[in-house]
Amino acid sequence: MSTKKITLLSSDNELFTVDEEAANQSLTIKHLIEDTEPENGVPLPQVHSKILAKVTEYLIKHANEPDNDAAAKEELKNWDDKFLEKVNHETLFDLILAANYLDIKGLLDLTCQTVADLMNGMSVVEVRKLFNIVNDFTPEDEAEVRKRRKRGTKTIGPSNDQANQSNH
Amino acid sequence: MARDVPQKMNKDEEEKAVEDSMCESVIIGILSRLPAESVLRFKSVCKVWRTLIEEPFFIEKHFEQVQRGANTKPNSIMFVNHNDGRLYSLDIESLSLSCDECPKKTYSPVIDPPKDMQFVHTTATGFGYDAKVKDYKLVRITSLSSFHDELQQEVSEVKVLTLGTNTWRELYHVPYNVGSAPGKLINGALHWIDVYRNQLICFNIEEEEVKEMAKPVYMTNNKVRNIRVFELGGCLALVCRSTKKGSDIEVWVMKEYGLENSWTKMFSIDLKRLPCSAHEFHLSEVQVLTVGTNAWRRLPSVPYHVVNDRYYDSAVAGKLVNGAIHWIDNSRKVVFCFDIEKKSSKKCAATRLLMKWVMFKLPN
Repeated sequence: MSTKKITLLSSDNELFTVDEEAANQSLTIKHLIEDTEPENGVPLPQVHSKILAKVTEYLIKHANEPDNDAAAKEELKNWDDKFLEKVNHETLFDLILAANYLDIKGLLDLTCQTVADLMNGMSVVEVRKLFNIVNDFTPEDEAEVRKRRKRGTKTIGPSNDQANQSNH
Repeated sequence: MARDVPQKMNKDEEEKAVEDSMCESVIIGILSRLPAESVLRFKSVCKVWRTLIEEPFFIEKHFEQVQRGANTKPNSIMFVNHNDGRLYSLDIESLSLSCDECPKKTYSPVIDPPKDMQFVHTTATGFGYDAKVKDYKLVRITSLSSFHDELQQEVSEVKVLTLGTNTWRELYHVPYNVGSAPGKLINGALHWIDVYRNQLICFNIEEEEVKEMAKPVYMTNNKVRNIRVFELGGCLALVCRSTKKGSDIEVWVMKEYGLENSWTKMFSIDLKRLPCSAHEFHLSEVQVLTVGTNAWRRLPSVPYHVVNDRYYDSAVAGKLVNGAIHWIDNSRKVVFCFDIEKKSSKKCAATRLLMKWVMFKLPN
């Protein structure tokens, strides 16, 4: 059985060819094909060839997701882990943006989870560095938080008074 | 490509806005997968993050991930405490409560024993999220009688604890005895089986109403026992056995929630294939989810567990926490768990457990 091939065009004009079934995991591509029926490849001006290569690799691997086969699911999970193992942070964020733009739920879940796992043990300063965020809290803002924290020591949590009352 | 370029230049600012909002949804996607405690910590990253995290819908997004089990630490949730309006995180395993504006402390849930302790027959709890009030609710049904004829009357007390207020509210009494199994949260409602009449009942978290639900016709027309409520691929599922000797365990799924004729038999399990002749069986949530129609043919690889009544006389569905299924043994008041990976069961320290909180612990 021959399947229809779809050609994707990256921002730097590189062509990638995948089966229609694989491409359809991206709802953006699916809608682009349905709406415009592009002849010279689906233009994806927001995705660089370096990232699109990774994305198509994912799409091809996930084209036929196993439903009931536990062993195949396990294999796919291992493949997912390996897929992002050697990826640097910059590429990882580019993949998230691409998955978001192309609307590929599986890839978005996978990449977001990877970043969340990465962040879990990090300090606030490390997270700022990872996301390239500038600390925009003024010293006054921080003093205010400290003040609130100090006040917080007096009235903590769901009040104990209420807890005691209900016990009676 | 040429026609794309001028278009892009004209809409430059518009695209910038779209890009920003996309980034926002991506940030929410990432943050909602973190344990609640980390989320609170990262409020200090920048002003945009602080605002995003403090948005009421963020708690909801976070709970979606908790439910999906995507969270690295699945037992940590977020809620707004109504007493001080602050955002808190609660690790429901260690019961450690934190807030980025106050020091850590341990949460002591209101243990609220029913007045007539000696009449208490069984107590069941359930836990869910109310999107309308944006808070978690712990629901408790206490049955005050085990006599069949008395069950015609409204003998079971229904109470709700809203996490943010930390007070129990008595709602009403119902004519059901739901045993001690935790309610199964599906489609915004908790589900139980009335153990005496095998009636499927549900409690809507938002409306706080108890209703009866239609079971598969098979279960109404045949004598069945051991009905359990499960979730199978996001759908309400019932597992039961016919009272006929040597009958199979059947798994039914309500494909469209609330639609009586969408009950479909998914598969059955040949009891003769189970390694021991147990009176009681337990299917873990994981196992039902991963087991397909024909996977039972490879039974040895399937992580199932049969609890032998001689050791544990608890007859409730287990609760999955950290890769182990937990039960409470009501007669000995101990919690025991079955480790899915190691396939071994052991007693556990009840104080540290979710059970203490999610299941009502009888005072000594």
